[in-house]
Amino acid sequence: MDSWVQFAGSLLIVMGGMALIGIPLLKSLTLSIEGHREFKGDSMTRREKTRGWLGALVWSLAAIVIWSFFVDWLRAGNIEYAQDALAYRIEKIMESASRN
Amino acid sequence: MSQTPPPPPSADTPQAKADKRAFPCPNCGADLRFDPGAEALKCTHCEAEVDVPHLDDEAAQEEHDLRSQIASGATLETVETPSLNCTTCGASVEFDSDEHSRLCPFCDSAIVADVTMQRNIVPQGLLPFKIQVKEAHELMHTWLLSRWFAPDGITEDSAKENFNGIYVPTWTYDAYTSTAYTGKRGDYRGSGKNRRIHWTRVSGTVSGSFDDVLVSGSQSVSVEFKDALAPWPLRDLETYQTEFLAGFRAENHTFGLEEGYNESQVFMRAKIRDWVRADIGGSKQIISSADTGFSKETFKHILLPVWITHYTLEGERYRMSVNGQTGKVYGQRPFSKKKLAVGALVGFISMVVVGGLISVSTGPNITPYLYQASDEGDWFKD
Repeated sequence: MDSWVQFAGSLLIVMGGMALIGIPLLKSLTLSIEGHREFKGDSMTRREKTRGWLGALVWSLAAIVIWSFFVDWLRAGNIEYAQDALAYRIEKIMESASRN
Repeated sequence: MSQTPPPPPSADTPQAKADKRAFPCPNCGADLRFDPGAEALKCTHCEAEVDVPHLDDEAAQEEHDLRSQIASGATLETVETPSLNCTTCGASVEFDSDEHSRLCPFCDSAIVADVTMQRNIVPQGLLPFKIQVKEAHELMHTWLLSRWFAPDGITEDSAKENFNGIYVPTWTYDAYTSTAYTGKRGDYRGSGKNRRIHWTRVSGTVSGSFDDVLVSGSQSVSVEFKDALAPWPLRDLETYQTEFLAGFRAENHTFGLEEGYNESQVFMRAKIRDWVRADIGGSKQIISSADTGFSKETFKHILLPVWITHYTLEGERYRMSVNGQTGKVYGQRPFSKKKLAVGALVGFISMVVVGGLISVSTGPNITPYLYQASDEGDWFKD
């Protein structure tokens, strides 16, 4: 490991950032779930209903990618490998997305 | 402490005589109030019960011809009532001479306007309150406790507040519709990369009817509020009698019959588009034109019972409402930012398993590619 302090510090900053971004998303997701369960009429638009789910999905994917980066970093003990592996994965995801 | 109840107020005051909703107790002369539990009038002083006579329910269910009512103006019975108009939310609430508070029951802001006389169409029917105020409190607490990420102490704060029992004016509309449409039907053909959509021109007619499309006659009650408290058991409508209103407040309609119908048509047209899409069929549909004819348009003017309260939490006011018939609860709800942040953090940490699995399972595939790309040797120590 090149620097444990660097690794732990980066992880803490990213965790804080993801928690902050997650606050409005979790609020929106909660309202979507409650609205889906409790509203009988058409008062929630489809956009309102799906916004919470979509936000949570994008956030979850970002969380998975971020964790794969940190596990790579931990396993290789080298941030450059983790960066290259992250770039490779993102490239593959983009390729897959453009094919579909 | 003395067990003797205080002397009953006089029912012969000029205000009480003028108020058509004053029902003096036959025993002691105090006010009778409609008791949702007993479904009868109950004396506020000696607790004597007086039955509310059940009139012919057909009058409550009678449909009135919409076009002739709009064309002729006021053929339905109207009544002039003293009202207070809220400048904040637009509610027009019937003024109760016994009511000293001038807080709007809908938005909780102070009403500073003077009492004015307002002419309203007399509702033909109403759903009487079945839920008592104590039950409304309990239902609200249960609802608040079931909220995710709600702040601590939410039920203690809301318990201090009083409920207002309000009858909300509502229009219901019926109509038969026939829609001639033209459009395109899209069907997928082929598979994989050869999958293409094939469009065919279509035309046709769809017919259907709408029964009791609800439109709030109140601008202070939003569509969301009305839908969230639905369904309303309209088969249980009682013929309008002022006895049911004793002890409750009634809002005057601020949306007229025609405005209400225009709003109901927005709902109907959205449904008709769904019918047209279903009639076209296929995988995708394009509606080029849809010409809808409405016939046999009828309406009812009714009152729906709602318990409303407001509570304060961290300086913010929140409104809660309970369906006075079914007990369904809807409200504005606060969130605890601390709990949301912890929730997001827990969610993020739980993703380590998936992220770790991806790292471990794809690592061996990525490593040769990275060796080739960077030519920097083995990063893994083992």
